[in-house]
Amino acid sequence: MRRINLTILAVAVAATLAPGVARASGFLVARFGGEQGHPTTTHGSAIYFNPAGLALTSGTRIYAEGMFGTRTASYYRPTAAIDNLVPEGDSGGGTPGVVSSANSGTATLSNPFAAPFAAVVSDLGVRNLGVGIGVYVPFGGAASWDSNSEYTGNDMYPGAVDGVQRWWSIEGSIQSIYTTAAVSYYLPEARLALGAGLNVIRTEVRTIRARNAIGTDDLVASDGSPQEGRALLDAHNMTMSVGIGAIWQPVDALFVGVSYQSRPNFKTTNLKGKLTTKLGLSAPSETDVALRWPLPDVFRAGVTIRPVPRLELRVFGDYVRWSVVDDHCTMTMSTMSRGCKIDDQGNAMSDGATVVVNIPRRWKDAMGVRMGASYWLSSAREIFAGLGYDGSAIPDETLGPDIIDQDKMTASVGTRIEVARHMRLAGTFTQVFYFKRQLAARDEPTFEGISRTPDQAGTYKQSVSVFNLGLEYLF
Amino acid sequence: MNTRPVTALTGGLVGLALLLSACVDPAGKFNDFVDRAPDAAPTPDAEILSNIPDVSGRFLFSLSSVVDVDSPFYFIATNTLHPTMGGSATITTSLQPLDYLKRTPVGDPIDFETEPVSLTGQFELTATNVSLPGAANPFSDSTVELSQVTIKPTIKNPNLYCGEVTGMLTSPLMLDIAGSTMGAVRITGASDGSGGMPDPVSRCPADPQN
Repeated sequence: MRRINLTILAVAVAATLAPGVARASGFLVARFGGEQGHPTTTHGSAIYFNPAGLALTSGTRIYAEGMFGTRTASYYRPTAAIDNLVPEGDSGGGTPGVVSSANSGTATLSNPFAAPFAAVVSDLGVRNLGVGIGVYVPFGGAASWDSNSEYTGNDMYPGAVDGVQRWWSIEGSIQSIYTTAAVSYYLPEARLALGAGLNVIRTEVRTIRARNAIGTDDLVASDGSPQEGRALLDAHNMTMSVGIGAIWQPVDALFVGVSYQSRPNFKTTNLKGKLTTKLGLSAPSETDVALRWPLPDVFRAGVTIRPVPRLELRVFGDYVRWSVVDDHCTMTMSTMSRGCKIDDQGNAMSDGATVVVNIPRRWKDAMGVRMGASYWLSSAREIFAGLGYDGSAIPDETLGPDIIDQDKMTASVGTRIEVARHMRLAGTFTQVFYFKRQLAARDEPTFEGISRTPDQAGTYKQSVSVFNLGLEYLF
Repeated sequence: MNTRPVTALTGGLVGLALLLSACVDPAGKFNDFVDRAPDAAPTPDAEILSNIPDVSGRFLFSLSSVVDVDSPFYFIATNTLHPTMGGSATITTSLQPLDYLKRTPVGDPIDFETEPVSLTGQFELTATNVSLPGAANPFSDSTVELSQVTIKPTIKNPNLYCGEVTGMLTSPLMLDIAGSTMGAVRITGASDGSGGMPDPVSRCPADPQN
């Protein structure tokens, strides 16, 4: 009965938490398991990284893990990035020069975050079999940017208090919560384990950004009336996907693993929800919309070797097909069946759905590689460390404060200790070092029409510290 | 088997996770902004006229939506004013949408019923459903659908009338356009457009004589 309660609790918590933001690339945040999370693992996180690993241990195991951390980020926007800066003393629509700090300067955020991973794995008493269920959040992120106190209580420019990054993000979260059932079987003759998992995925997007009707950062129209408004999007869906994998053990001390996680819904999916807007002097209004929300498939491969019994060396990597993320297109629900069709310049095509707003992404595939080592001080105490590199999925032309991604290095240290009979406690600290990115102010808008956004030029910095604290109970 | 320690430790992890979770409330931020943002200003009452200026003819009609006063929809209004007894009048109007960039006719004209003009020079044009082609849309290429449109102009002089517009934008966005404004300036050139267009006016000027 307690086991059932544990599972229900984990599901409930996963459904309410913002995901972690220790990103591999894009908004892939699958770092559960810490240094134990990789495609040759026998840890419970195998349910996602490679279900074949579930059959490589025996008995029943319960895993509960919290991934706790802090994310700090800053975005400096130069004055040159302002779309229409009106010199002091002149009149016209745009950003009056006297309040250029409403659209230029530095925005910051400092957010704690937490995300759970929970799984139950068992051989059900059958030799070479492994089955498991788990709940976790491999895709997601949350952000709440700091206010610009210079504009607190400013009635003339009521939007500026939300920071210079507000045209892309004020506050929001995106997350895909996976509930997975997986099975694996080890073929002794072939020294090969094969596994597969079925994922039920709930994806949610809740974001708010500043917006005006023409896609610029203009604060006021030529007559001084306000142009800045807000767009609040709240959309979700349920989809399915599969994961498959294999682990080959050619000799006792060597494991070679490959795995594949399919795209949620196996193709581009639409989230359904509401877009609430307040533009200019209009009253707030709601529109039923569908949000085109492509998510990538992920290929993983890794090798684990034990040159001596006390030492394990690992190298593994992933390839994430972020290039499927072309546009985050918001279209009217009633026309979504026609599909969002956007040309290269960002204009909506006439034979497609009615597009309300489009955020061009045009992402590219990204890959990461990590290496790590474990050393057993005794049978009850393991220490480990790892280093990694992950590329960025986001090109300069569509990078923005809403989803910041940079090339990054990771460094991890941790330990796993048997704290009681059948019970192990694991802790991994990971520091993610992001490389600074700088974008020059553009001469012309990158995209036109419905896809136009303010110039996202500036300097992006980010830092993430993560602590995975996990508990394993074996029986 | 005693699973109490597992439950306790798991509960601790979960509790800590809840405490540290980054709580986001986008809807709350939206409501905060709505509370801070100003509303559209009301239009002052009109005065009674000694006679109603004749606004028959062709006008460049600019409808400045409440979302962005600098990006109006353009039409050519063709009016016929019919004086009636007691100094009042009726007006018959047709609006031909114009391409936003080229200012050339696009799509079908919108014909309104003949409506009375009050002694203050005010009249009211209503349309249940209006569809404007994407080329007339100043914001994007999407077709614009409106419903329950009401235009309430006041005739200021023979060359100008202006006022408020209400209604619901139903596509591509649901939006109440109450607070939008319009202005119509007489086109003095030839009907083929060779005389050029006047400068658009999309709301009532402070001094309508200028």
